[in-house]
Amino acid sequence: MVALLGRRVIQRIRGLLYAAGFLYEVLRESFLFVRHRQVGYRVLTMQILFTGVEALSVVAVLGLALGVVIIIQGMSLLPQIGQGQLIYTILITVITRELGPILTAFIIIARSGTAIATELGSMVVSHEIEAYVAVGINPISYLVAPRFLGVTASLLILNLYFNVFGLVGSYFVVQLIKPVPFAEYFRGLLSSLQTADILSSLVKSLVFGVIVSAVSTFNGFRVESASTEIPQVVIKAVGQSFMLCIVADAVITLIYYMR
Amino acid sequence: MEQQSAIELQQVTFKRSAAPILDDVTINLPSGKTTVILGPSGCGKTTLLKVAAGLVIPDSGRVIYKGRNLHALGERENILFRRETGFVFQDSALWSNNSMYQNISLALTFHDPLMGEQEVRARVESLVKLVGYRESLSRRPAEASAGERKIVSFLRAIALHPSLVFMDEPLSEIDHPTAERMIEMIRDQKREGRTIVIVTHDPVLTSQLADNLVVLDNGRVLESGPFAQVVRSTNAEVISLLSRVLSEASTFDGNILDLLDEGTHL
Repeated sequence: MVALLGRRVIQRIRGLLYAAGFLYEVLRESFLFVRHRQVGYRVLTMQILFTGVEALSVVAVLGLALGVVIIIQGMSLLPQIGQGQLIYTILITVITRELGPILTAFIIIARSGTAIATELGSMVVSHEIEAYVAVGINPISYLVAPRFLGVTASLLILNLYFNVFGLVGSYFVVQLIKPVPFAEYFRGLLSSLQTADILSSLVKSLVFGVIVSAVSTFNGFRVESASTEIPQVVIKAVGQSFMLCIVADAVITLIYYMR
Repeated sequence: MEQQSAIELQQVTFKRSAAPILDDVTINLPSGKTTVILGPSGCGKTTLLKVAAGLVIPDSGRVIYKGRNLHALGERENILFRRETGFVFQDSALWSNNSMYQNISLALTFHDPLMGEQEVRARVESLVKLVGYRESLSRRPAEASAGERKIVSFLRAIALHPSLVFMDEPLSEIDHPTAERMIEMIRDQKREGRTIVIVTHDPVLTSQLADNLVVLDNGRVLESGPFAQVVRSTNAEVISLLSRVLSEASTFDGNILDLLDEGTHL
């Protein structure tokens, strides 16, 4: 029993060390990516297209709908308790600082995290990864670094889009239901927006991008030989990405309030 | 006379789930020669080939390339080694998201980033012409037959004119005329002094190209050495195994060892 427990602990520690080594390699190769000739740029472009551009409509609709709901609810309820001005603080807190980064991360996990883990897993099974090694191409620099950079950059951009649609786009939709003076709305919004809010949002996007891309690629490479392993690693990639993003979100929020 | 080694495996052992795939394997792959690895299915031939090519790291033992342990090479040395080697996978292992053209040209653009697009295209087209491949190169591997994929895998392996070529069942899934052209291309590689290591069950390929034979069974080397010496082995185990292995892929009724011995061996 004790021996079994000991083996499990050692196995877990080895797994963590392996994951840390993988992350180190990914970070190193990503920094060196520019030097790695032109062959990887096509992969980077495709990743930004798939992760950043193709997810734009989902992010826009989500940001817009959330912004509309907050504005309508806030403008109906807050004046009743004499706190009408709080709507802007709530908008910034919810859209910019909290839900913007985490919801875009969730969308990316569902769309790109699963796709990356599936694709890399299939490549392992069909020996395509070995074929890259055989011609001298490092799979980390050619396959992982562009995905890592593409997903992280896309998450930053999508978070920005989420904010634009959640804060600005929603204003125009609300005009159809409940007109609010343009100058008053944007003055209120800008006076509530602080540099720390923008920084917190950007840091969260960056960290979530690193988590989603690293976890998805890592799990993709964990496939050994059978296609039945692919759905298993995809489930793991999604679960671990969700969990790590939520934990990181809580830590960054804590740091924000402790400053 | 001792032949100069291109690759030397020293006491290589490789296990999967405690079961030995390779058991204390020591062989010499002579430089500029063609070595054929023979053995029954599942005896560890592919693993041996991958260990020799540095694609699989053994649990113990060493793989010596130019006097150095292959698995201890630095990043730059490893890239240089890869530039010098080509590998034809048993299942072709083409990159499914790339076109056939990209599958052949990627190694060229990676190792020679200064090579212009036109030069790359010219190199790819000359290779394609050599093998008589007439299908469109813009197709993806999934749209091609298994034989076509194998040909492209072969072209990818030799695109950089490597000095060392590893081939895992290069003629499987290929029709007879194409197989003949492939044998001719392998023969050209041999004439140009390249070191070739082939895993095959094909008696024709073996008889026509092998300079050296390695006979493998259950992860152990039963016999290795010059072709003429191994096919005349007095070891009953070797004789029985060679007959069994080669007859698996043969439609000939005659004695397989006779067939090998009397082939058009270079």
